[in-house]
Amino acid sequence: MKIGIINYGMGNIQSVYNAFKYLKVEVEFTRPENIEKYKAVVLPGVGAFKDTLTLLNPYKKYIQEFISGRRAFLGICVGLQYLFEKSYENGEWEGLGYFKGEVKKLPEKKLPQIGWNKIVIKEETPLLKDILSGSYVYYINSYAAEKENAFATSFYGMEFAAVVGKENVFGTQFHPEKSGEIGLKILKNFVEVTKNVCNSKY
Amino acid sequence: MLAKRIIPCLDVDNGLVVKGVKFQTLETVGDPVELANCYNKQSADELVFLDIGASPNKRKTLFEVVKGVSERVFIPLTVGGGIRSIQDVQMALSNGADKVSINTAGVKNPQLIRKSSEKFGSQCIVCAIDARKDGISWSVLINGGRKKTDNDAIQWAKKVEKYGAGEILLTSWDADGTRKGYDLKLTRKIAGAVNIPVIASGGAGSLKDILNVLTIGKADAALIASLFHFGTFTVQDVKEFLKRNGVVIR
Repeated sequence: MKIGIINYGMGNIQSVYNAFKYLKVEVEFTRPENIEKYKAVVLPGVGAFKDTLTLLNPYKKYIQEFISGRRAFLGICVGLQYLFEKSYENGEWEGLGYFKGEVKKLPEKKLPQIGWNKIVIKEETPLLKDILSGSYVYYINSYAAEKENAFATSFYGMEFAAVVGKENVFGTQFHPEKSGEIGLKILKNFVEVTKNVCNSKY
Repeated sequence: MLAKRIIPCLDVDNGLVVKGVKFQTLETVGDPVELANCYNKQSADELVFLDIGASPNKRKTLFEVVKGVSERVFIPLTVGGGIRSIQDVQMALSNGADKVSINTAGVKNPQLIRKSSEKFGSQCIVCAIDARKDGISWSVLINGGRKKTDNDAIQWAKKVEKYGAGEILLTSWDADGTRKGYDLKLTRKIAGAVNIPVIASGGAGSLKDILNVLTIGKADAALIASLFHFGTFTVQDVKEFLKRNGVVIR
């Protein structure tokens, strides 16, 4: 089984790739229109919501079809935000709406939030298996999704969603590929999740 | 709440880590990939690689070093030294850097800061400021500390924030390599003047110095080179000391 990393022209996609390689997981880059051949894909993201939206919108139906097929999906940073209903980053933008809620600006003086922040685990999820509440993860963001229904949250000016998930679709606002041992463990947990995707079609 | 960051700095010349005093005398410290691995295991929060040779050939060597590190070490990596163009920024990022530090070229051409932060995002553009005391203020130095400019360090810090820099890497020329402590006044002034994180550099000689720059100096992160390279302290030593003194660290 291979994991596909969606290459849509932005984001730090090389480090996500390097992290899976390091975990000895088969991984390759894929264009958004070709994701249907994978059992699991990762949507990495660094940058503005609008840019991500502009680049991804032509492929919206591929992503919608993919996640509605109960396959494993991990959105990172803006990749998580894209799964929500709406973002207020420099305007008002409509996301995929897979998760209820909105993406808002963090009410802090120093932005972006750059550095290591704690996660507080609210609810058990396979993605956070063996991860302790209070672990530090690496963030770079000025916007974040509402905390409601999140598996884990962090606090920077407000409490926001750090980890979200529904069925096999997950999102992390932080960068697991840059969060040292904790981050690698979360990516490993995601790989375990993908093993539960039992659809012979893929 | 964000943890204060401890960032080992690896000055790289021709593929090897070196350490200078007052930007000059150089001693070889060791292999960068090996050191990076070691600091990562000691729970360093990030790593900074500065190419102090900064000739185009040597820079290629540095990029290869960073590429090697990025395949094994999964914390943020910053690359700097001799970054002169958007192409240089692109090259550094595509070789595994998460952030790129711009110094002299940004002073000479602020458009480089603006354009690269627009193209790649503020989060990956760090502006390095080398400041030297000049009466009651501080002047910005360029060319690896060799040339003084008319820019006031505090005004320049505000400007780079406006141009889109995501962080400031502030080095005190006067304190660098002395091991007599960071320039707390300078650091505090700059940290108070901008709304982006400030990484303090130059002068760490004791655990107390590091504590001071993160508390009195208001820095968000401390850059440390020789104290780690020569084994005076490990990253854990520093973090345990900070923790005991009430600083939030990872």
